[in-house]
Order: sequence, then structure tokens, then C-alpha cells
Amino acid sequence: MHPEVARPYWERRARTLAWWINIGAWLEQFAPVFFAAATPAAVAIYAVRRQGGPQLPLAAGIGILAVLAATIALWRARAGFYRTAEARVLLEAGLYLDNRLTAATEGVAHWPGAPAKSEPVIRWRLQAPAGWIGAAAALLALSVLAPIGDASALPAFAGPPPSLVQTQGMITALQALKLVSPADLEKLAERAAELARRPPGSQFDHAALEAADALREQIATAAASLGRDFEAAASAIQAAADGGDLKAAAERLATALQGMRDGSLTANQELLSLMPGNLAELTGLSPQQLAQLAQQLGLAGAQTRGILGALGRGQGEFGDALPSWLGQGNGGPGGGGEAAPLTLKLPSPTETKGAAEGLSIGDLSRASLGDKLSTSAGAHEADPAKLVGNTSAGAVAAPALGGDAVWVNRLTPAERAALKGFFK
Amino acid sequence: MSDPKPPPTDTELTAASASLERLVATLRTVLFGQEELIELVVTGVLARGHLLLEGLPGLGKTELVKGLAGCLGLQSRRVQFTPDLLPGDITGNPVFEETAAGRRFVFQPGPVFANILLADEINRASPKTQSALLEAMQERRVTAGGETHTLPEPFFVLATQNPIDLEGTYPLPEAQLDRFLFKIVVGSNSADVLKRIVLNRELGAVPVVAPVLSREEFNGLLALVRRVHLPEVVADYIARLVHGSQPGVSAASAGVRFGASPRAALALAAAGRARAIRHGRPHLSFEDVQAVARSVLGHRIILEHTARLDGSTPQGVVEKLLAEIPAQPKPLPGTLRSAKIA
Repeated sequence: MHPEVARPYWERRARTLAWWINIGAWLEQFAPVFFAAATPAAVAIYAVRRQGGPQLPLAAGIGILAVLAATIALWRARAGFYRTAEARVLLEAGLYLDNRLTAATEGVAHWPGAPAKSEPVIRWRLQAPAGWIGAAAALLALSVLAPIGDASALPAFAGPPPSLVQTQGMITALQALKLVSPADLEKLAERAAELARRPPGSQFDHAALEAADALREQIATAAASLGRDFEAAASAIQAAADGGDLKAAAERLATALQGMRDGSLTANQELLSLMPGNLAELTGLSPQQLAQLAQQLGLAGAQTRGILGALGRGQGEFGDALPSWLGQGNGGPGGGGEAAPLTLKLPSPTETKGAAEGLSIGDLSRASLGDKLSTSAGAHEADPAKLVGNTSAGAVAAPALGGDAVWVNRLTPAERAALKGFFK
Repeated sequence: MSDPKPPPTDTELTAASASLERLVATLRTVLFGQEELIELVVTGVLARGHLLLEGLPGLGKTELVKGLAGCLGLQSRRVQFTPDLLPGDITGNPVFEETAAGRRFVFQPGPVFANILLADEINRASPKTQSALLEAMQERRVTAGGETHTLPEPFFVLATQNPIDLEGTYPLPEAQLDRFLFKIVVGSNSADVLKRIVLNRELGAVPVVAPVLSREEFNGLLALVRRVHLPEVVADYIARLVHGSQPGVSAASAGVRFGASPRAALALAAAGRARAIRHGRPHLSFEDVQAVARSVLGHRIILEHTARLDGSTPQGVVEKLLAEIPAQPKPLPGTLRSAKIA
């Protein structure tokens, strides 16, 4: 082949080889970058479709993202780009041309003739970039083609959250019992009404749901505590009616009354005024009166604690006093004692923090080591004014004796005498 | 650095190819079935290098060297190395001479004063005698009795050694091995070759070889080899090959204690140039370097004892180097692979 023909052939082939290698280098960098860019783009496409937002800005943004990914890949791949001279060396090494192309370029040898069949010097290895790009394309296709549910087709939930409804129901039930101070119930009702006054769109906000749940738990806990106080009082009065130790019964009754007055929910003042407040008043009632009072207090305690039945727990003893839906849970599919729908498990009364159940702080007769009588929160109170300056970390009780200890402490008199004789 | 010498012309290359083809054809009549050995020997001589032939006795090493000397019309001497051989037995000795002009010491040249010195079983001589060859091989001159004597041009040492006898041998030190351009392992012959030997040769009869090249023609070939163009990409390849033989530089050099020296890089270039002339090219190529790399680098790579115990050989390291180090240093991207067919 004439050099004038061979030279353009080989130069064109070297340029083409360099071009393909550079595309390969760019593709190697572009594939993972494209995947990284396609992931948020797919999320954005799906979100815009779901919200029914404008498509044009989204398409423009994705286009800019794609151009940015291509530019980043180009910048990262540029170090691996081949120049024509480098591709020429690869070409002549791959085709076993004895460096004739380089020598011809330098004017030392003639250009070799073009081969009849153009053998490839490189082969593509596209598994990795195809994997990246395929995954990105699948994500994008999924975001475009995935069906979007019709939000208007969903049944609208009307009304306040279930926890708030339960809370209001418990307050209504407690008001109907007339066992709790109306002022306390008024405050709770006001808080519940405040939550109910929120706009319907924000009733199911996280904060609103948390507040309704907290109020419900607070009422349930307080009612349970008050109910236990009623039952404790009933137990003490029943003991007195049965001819037991009146002094001890009076003390237990006083403790129960104190709980009724100081709890989160206090007992109705009219009810408290009817209760025997001390030993004299207790002894002033006949056993029959005491038994009747104990029975009424026990019923009151059960009814107050029974308010927990609204949450599907405890023994519901209200009958018609509670709304039809505010009773025991209907159970699970098998009819078992499962929790009612949309309710949370409450801690049992014995798990209530800060409560000294079954033990009064002053009565340690049945306490054992390790029993927790109560819990309290506190903090260290450091008084900087009382700083007394540096103090020693300890005092030396006795100076070290060193080798003398051997003579003084460890040897018998006979041994000490023998050693003294030896070293004399 | 630019090459000031003009590269060989087409006419010179054609004439050189014809001369070398005659030389090789004649040598093939001396040694049957050893085409690769003959090519390597001719390449080494064209590169002005000293050659070390290693092989079992009776394979024709000595005959080949004698035939080469006969073909080139050069003066050759043969020295059978033995443990009691003294340095002066090779380089020559000052001899006391009494003439009419008076008494004086006259330098009596040794067998080293020849164009081709055949050092037969070089590893049988003591290290002291072996080292006497060092100056002659490197400087192409001999110093005796305080006087320096230049050796004739051209000067080659073609040494042989027997790999199986350990008793009474002194392995060549690395410094002396490095001065040999090639270490060529002479293999055994096939049955067909042996048949040709039996049919064409007679025990004890030395084949007669007529000179095919004059001394001037041979010197012209040596000068032509020096004018072969060395492209920068090939020089870079040589440098990376030699550098890659250093311990810890490449994966192939695992177990290498000492890699090839800079002299090895020069030897690769010189031998490659000679091969390029043999193939009628005015420039060196990757293929030239790869063809001579085994013979140039094999005896210059020293392995760790542990690597030798694991079965590694310098030849294996060279093979790994050739496989590991690409002609084009810039790597291909991961999306491509070379389609080069071995």
C-alpha cells in the first residue's frame, strides 16, 4: 500500500481508538454517578406525580441533573483519557506491528500497509456500567410508571382522634359518677375541649395525638389511684365494722383519705365530708352503718377504677353509665380478651411510678430489704461558698520501715540475734 | 535525547539481512535443530555482547562457537578452564628475555588476545581466574606487569558451563554474570535432529566452515546495529521492565532479592537493536525487547532462598514481568479490555 494511503488509514484508526477508549473511561465514571443522580430524581418524579405538581420544572431539573452527572463523570475520567499517540502505541502493540506506526510517525520507517481485515484491539466489558445504568433506568421507569393511588377514593375520617373521644368519654363517665371533685373534672374537660377545638386538619398531627394520648393516660392513672383509695378506705371501715383494731383501722382510713385529698383527681368534697375522719368519728358509727359505708366505698372504688374499662382493661362495672363503645374490648378475631381497637396498653396499677402500693411510708412492719417505698427526683446542690481550699488526699498512717521491717517485724528474737552475730 | 546517528537505510538493511541470512544458514550446517540458539548467538554477537551457554556436555556448544569464529573469519582461541588454571594462563605473562640489547621482561600475550575467546566450562576455574576475565570483558583490555594491553576488535567471550557437576566447580559471581549479555540454556535435541546428526556427522570429525563474512563486513554490521533507532516508547518499556524486576516494585518481583541492574537495561536495548537488524528493521520494537528479555534478564535476577525453595525461578519472574507490564503504560478503563491475541 502506498504511504499516502496507509498513513491516513492508520492515523484515522488511532484517533478512533482513542475516541472509543475515552468514551469507555467516561462511561466507567458516568454509570455510578448516573445511578446516584437517578435515585433522587426517581423519588422526585414519583412525588410530583403523586402531588399532581408541575411536570415542566421537574423535567428541566432532571435534565440539569443529567448534564451535571455527565460533567462530573467527564471531570473524573479525564486523567484516563488517551491521546492519539498513546492509542497508536496500543494499536501497534495489539496488532504486533513491531512499532512500525511509531517509527513511521518519527520518519524512521515506512507506514505499514492497511490490513485486509480490521482486527479489533479492544473489546468492551460492559457488565458493570450496564448494571448501574440498568438499575437507574429501572428506578426512573418505576417512578414514571408506578400506579398512584387516588387519595379522594379513600374514606375520609371524620371527627376527632379516638384517643380524644375516649378521654372525653372518661370525663363524662366520671362526672356522672359524682365521686370526683367537679373542679378537677372541669379542668380536664377544658383541656380536652381545647384539643377538640383544633382545626380538623391538625387533629391528627403528631403533637395533637401525643397530647390526647397523654391526657387519656393521665386521667386513667388518676382515676385508678383514686379508686384504690376508695377501696382502701372501704377495707379500713369494714375492718372496724368487723370489730377489729379500731386504732389501726382509723390510721388506714386516714391514709386513704389523705390520698383522696392529695391525688391528681381528688374525691368529691361532699363525699369526703360524710367520711369519718378520725377514731372518735369512727367509733361513733354503728357496725351496720360502718358496713354500709364500707360497701358503698367499695362500690365507688370499683366504679372509679372501672373507668379503665374504657380502654379495654379492668372490669367494666358501669353498665348504662358509659357509652356503648366505651366498655370492654370486643377481643380479637377469636373472641379472646384482646385490647380494643386503636387503644394502647396501659401500665397496670402496680407499675405506676411514684406510688407506694400496699405500704405506707410510715408502716414498715411488712417491709423487707429492697422494697422501694417511693421514688423521688433530686439533684446535687453544690455550694461554692463553702469551698475550703486544697485538702490532702490522705494521710500516711505509718512511715515505711524498709529493710528494718525484716529485722523488726519478721524475725523471731532468736533469728534476730543470729543475724546480728553474723554481721557483727 | 535525540539520536544523532542516522537510522539504517533500506539498502543497508537489505544487505545486512542477506549477510546475516548467509551466516545463520552456515551455522545451521554446524549445529542441527537449534535455530533459536543460533539466532540468539548471532543476535548477541551483533550486540557486541559476551555470551554464556549453559547445557549438558555434547550438545554442540563448542562446535557452535568454533563455527561462528570460522564463519566470521575471526581469530578464536579456546581455553579449557580447570581449577588449577591461573589468571596469567589467560591474560598472558611477562617473560624474562635476554637479547643483544640486554635483559628485559617481555609480555607474552595469553589466549585472551583473540577475537573470540571460548571459555569452556568457565565455572571450573577458581574465582581468582574467573575475575581475571572481568577487565577483559568489560574494558576490552588486559593489565599485566603494570602495563595495559588492548584486546583486538572485535572481542567476544563465549563461555560454556555445565549445570550438573557440582564437585570442583565455582559458580560465577553475580558481578561476572552481569557482564554476560545473554545466558542461553542449550536444550537437548529431538529424535529427528539426532538422526540428522548421525547421518551427517562422524565422531571426531570437525565440520569445516568457510568464512561467509569478512572482518570488514562484520564490523560494518556492528556499526549498523548502533544506528538502529530506539523509539522513546520502547525505551520507556525497557525501563519499566527492568524497574519492575526490583523487589517490591511489581507483583512479578515477589521473592526477588536483587533485581536487574541498569546494565541490564542497556543490554536489552543493545540486544534489541541487533534483533531489529536481523529482522531488517531500522528501529527497535516491543517485540524485539520481549524476544531477548528472557536471555538478558534471566541471569541478572537473584531470588530469595525462600522463593527458590517454593519453586520460583528467575526465568519464571521474567515471564511474569512480561505478562504484567504492558507495552502501553496507561491502563485501559474498566469498561474495556485488550483484545490482543497471544
